[in-house]
Amino acid sequence: MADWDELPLTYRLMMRAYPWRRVSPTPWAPLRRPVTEARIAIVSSAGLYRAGIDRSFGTREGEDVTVRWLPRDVATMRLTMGQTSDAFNRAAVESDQELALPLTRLAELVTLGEVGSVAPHHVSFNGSMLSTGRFLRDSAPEVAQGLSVDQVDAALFVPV
Amino acid sequence: MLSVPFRFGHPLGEAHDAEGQRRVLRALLQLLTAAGPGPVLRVYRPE
Repeated sequence: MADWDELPLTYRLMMRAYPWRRVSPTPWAPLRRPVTEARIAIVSSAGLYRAGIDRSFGTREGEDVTVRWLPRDVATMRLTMGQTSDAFNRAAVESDQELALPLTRLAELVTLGEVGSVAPHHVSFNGSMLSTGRFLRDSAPEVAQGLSVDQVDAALFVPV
Repeated sequence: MLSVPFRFGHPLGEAHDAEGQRRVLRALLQLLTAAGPGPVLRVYRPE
């Protein structure tokens, strides 16, 4: 997550007034096997998608709560960023999509024997959403089901 | 909740810095095994 001091003033003011959702009890599932044996998936809120293959994310900020499933062998450098927030500098992620969906880096850790395997599918959504309740209701179950079908042991969330 | 802070817009560090990005990933993976039992809030700042 980003540090508070980095946020523009308008966003800090908005976040102070935002009706944050309180989740209790906090969901928790301990890792059931060593990382060296675990299957890892990436969940990114950069809204990355394959132009010409996947549906793009909606342009009305806060409205699109859908997810895109990206295969393990996707060429990350060809992905388009559909994140609609203007709160951060997009140049870094647009220059190197591995910053937001580090599939190549993760595969390298598998090769080095530090991670068990890379999951066959990974999750991308537009993190700039106000309708978090809709996301939890409409999309989170799809994500949980898909990761479960793929027998994923842990998902790393890369927030953008 | 387990988290690694980052510079806004640079969730895994610098663009095209493969070693730096692997270092952040390792930090995240260490948190997976270091935390528990039960939910905790832990912040890890990779070197």
